[in-house]
Amino acid sequence: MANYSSSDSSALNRAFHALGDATRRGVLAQLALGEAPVSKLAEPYDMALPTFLQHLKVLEAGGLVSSRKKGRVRLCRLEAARLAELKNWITQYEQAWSARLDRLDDFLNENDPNKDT
Amino acid sequence: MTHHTAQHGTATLEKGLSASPARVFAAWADPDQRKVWGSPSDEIDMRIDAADFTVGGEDVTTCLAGGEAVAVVRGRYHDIVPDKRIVYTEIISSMDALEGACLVTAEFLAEGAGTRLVVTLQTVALDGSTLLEEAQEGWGSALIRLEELLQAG
Repeated sequence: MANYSSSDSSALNRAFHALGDATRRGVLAQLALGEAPVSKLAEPYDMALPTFLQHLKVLEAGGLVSSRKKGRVRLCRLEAARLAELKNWITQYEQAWSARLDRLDDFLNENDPNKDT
Repeated sequence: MTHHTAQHGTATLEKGLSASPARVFAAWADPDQRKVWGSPSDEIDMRIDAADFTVGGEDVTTCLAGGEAVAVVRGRYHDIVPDKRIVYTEIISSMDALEGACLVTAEFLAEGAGTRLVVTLQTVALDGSTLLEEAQEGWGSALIRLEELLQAG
């Protein structure tokens, strides 16, 4: 596995964040069956289209989904390589560390002896 | 089926903290503080079974998800420079197998009144380990299901 810097680890954070929602995981499951237009992906969900598009945006920001225009239709596909990367133990271990450092920051801010309360 | 594999990774995580190096260092050195921030998520509780923050000393921490033990982490300290640096190894086991090991270097660099914390992780993962899949907020199992779908397709 290649070395990577913290900028890559924030890309991974975005990917893990994208997975932290049932709707988005549902979209990934649909896309696991093949490329699909946005309208078809949105069908099962009882939510306004802009809300659904927000979810797609989060998935794209996490590198889990890519999309392309075909005529007037936007087609989405699963980025399986990114998914495989997230399943990797080292990736998850490093992600857990990244989450711990965020919690360390919160912990120190909450327990600041110099802070007026 | 057992795969005898060893996979290596190196990552450097950097974080700017407003607390002083002394306070950040204390949060690592003191097991009571480490217990609070040391879990990767609210879903996982840490039980400190042993804590010996000295060179050569050993920490043993059990990770609990929903009260159930899912992993044991054994740490051994190799270098401690107060307020500046900690070098230690972590050995991570699931309840039935060794999962991996990591050489952790934490550097506490003064930056204004605060701290630039630089954590370097040099990791080996053994035999297709899957420890964190189950431990992390549910998305681990989602990934497994997705992979099954992908393999079926």
